[in-house]
Amino acid sequence: MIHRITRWPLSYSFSLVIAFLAFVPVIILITLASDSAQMFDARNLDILSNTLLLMFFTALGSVAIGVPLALILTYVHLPWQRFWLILFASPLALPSYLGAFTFYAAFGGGGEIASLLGVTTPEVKGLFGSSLTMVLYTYPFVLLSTRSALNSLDASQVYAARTLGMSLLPSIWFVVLPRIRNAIAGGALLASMYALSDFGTPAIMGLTTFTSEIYVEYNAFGLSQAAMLSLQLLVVVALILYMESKVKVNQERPGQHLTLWFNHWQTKLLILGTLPVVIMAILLPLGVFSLWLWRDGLEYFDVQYAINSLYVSLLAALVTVIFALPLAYAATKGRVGRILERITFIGFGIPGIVMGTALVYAGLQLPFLYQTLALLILAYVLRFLPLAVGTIRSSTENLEGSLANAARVLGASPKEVYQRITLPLTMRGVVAGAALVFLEVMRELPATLLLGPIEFETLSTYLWRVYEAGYFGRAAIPGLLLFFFSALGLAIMFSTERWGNIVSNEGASR
Amino acid sequence: MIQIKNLSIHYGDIPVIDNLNLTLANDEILMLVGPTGCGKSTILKALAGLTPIAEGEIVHQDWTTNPKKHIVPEQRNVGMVFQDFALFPHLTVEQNIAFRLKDNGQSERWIEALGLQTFRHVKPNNLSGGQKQRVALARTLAHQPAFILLDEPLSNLDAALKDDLRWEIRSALKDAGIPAIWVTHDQEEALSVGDRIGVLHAGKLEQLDKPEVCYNQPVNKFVARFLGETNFISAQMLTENTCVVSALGVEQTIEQGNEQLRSMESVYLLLRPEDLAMQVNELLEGERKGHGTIFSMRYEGSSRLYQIQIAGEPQSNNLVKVRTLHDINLKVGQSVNLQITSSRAKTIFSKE
Repeated sequence: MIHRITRWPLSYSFSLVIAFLAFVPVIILITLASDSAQMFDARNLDILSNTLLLMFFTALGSVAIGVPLALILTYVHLPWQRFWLILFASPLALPSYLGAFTFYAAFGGGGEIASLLGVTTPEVKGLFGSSLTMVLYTYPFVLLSTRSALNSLDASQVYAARTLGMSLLPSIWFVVLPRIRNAIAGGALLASMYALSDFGTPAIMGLTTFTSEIYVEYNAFGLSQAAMLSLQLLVVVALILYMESKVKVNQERPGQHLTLWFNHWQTKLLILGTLPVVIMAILLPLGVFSLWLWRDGLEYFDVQYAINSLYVSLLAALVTVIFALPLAYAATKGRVGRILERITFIGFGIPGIVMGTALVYAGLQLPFLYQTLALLILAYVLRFLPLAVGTIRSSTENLEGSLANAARVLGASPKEVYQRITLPLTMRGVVAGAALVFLEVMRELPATLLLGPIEFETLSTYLWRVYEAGYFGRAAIPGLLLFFFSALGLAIMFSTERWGNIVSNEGASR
Repeated sequence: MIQIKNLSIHYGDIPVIDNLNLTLANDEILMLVGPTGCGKSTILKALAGLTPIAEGEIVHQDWTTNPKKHIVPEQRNVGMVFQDFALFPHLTVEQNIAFRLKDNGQSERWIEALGLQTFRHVKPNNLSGGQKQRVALARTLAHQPAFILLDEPLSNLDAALKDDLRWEIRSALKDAGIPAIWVTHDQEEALSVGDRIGVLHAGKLEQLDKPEVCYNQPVNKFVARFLGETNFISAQMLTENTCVVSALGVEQTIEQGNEQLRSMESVYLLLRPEDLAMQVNELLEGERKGHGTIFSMRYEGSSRLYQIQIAGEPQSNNLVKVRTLHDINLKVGQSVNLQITSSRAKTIFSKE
């Protein structure tokens, strides 16, 4: 007889509460927005068109850089192949506002490049500046999704095309690209999703998009107007997420791997040709921050900012993992559990600035929460919970089935299975999940800006204040520290095997 | 005609092909056969220009390539048929076959010749393995290459399909009059289809000759074993051209060549299981030469392969394989007498 579990597991009750919490921001925004007089006006049209243009150019640019890079990094026989891959994927780990900040300060008439070298470079701001920055920090989405699709293609088709008399580039155009169109589209959607949700870059570049305008409204005490904009933004987010769910990456039977052999100078030329991307995305910001450090020194930096960052990130990571464990467990128990887990993924789709707006209002209504660290932590948990759940889940995926059974068949008792299989394997996921949340929180800007208690500055908010006040030189230490923590995040991502998975989750997290 | 001269290929620092020499005649089907990892497919890739070569040169009537001067695949006028078919999944059968053709004459010819009319507008994923390989062959032939490379074209197909398709491919190649190099790890395929076969071992060409020569007069034990079941039976030299198999007590002529071995006293004689026959022994044990008992029997469908333990031979080398018709069914332990039935000259090997 088949034994059915009819009991309502304990983990379900807990998950239900968390799933409900995930809905709260949306409910708050709807009530708040209903006070707003203006539903949609000419200004909204302007914001909408700016946002859509930014998304469009980001998608376009990230495809233009990401696809050729993916082809080179997958198919061309390069020395230190893995090094190049990590290098070109690394801008993904950097918050784009670091780039935006340094580009804004470096280019243009009175910029750092002009004062250092005496060469006047064109200004990088507005739609152009935002798009350029976005492309430089989102092309890895396209690079990675394209690369994984390319890896699954069989080389024989290209060999066939070439022996049938087609030269290399047309073979790639006619035989390779049509088969990976969907993967490219998937990566481009992730990139435009990032552009849609990111606050720092358009705000610094002075481009009026949903995210930057929400902050302006918030500062002007137009909370209900901010809520209305937030809802409109969420509609676009939902649209992109829907499109993304419709993009099906078709699977082919994997075969032999295509390798292209170029001679030495051709290989060198290829690498040289791609280096400007890395120089712009990584070396230039690093250089500018280092320049400021050398010029302005340490004196304005208060260690308390770094301590605050560490403290709040650690706390958020801990709480998030505690919330994530029952969800991950519930998801393995049955369908209801999986649905509850899915619901918490809403947090991913909510941009930080929107989450901030919603919870600021909650704080105003519930005075005991107002301006507390608890509210800020709640925002982090709701935003980054899916990241932790995903990591924990991926490490426990095999547990229910084969691994535990294998251990049982070898004669282990359930207790022994838990101690020797389940626990060690889950722990790895828990630690990795906590680390990822920790690093995300460290770099989070908009929600921290809106919800941080007064006088509670973190590295990222201090960077923002410095930008607003125009004392760019003081950004050196926080900028370099954020760089360091991003590099740490990258190392963790590459050491977890499900790197592709985490990357695709990342896309929705901003 | 294609000439491969002193060809060596490396993957990184690892040599894969070492000093290969080979000539493909104008209307020839040349089979390259060898165990997995011997470098057969690598040779094809080098001929197609898909992998760089380290040393030597490949000479074709229209082009010559060497490590300094790489000719890209599309300029070699080569056709290639792949193990996994390599059909373009986003194109129909017809579009695949006419991939780079301006006029349809050739594609129509091969669609008809290979019986693909009904699949014309079907995408490759909806075809069976045998149909896919016919499409791949039609595509290659329709583009009229100067020579064709077949990389294990049948290894992804069911055994039942292989025999038929093997001949279909051979006659299509002969019809088109295009020379081909066909790589396989299946010795039966190699022996039955090729005009000549080349046996490869660890990147070296061990023997290159007509199938019957490679099978009956292998240059070494590796070739002998790779192409079929073998018995290496101890024999004593009698004269320049004859020896006597001590265990069976019969005299055998020896093929020409190999002066050094002829001067030896004792050698190994290669006998294929088909060269031997056996009869149920009515006499008492040990009374006649060639006596033995059945040690094991393997049923093969059309035949049976027996292992006979011969009396009076050392334990290490006293099992002889004999292939009989399938309806000769004898029990393990049965006493039998062995005879050599083939009369052709035999091949000998050194005992070292």
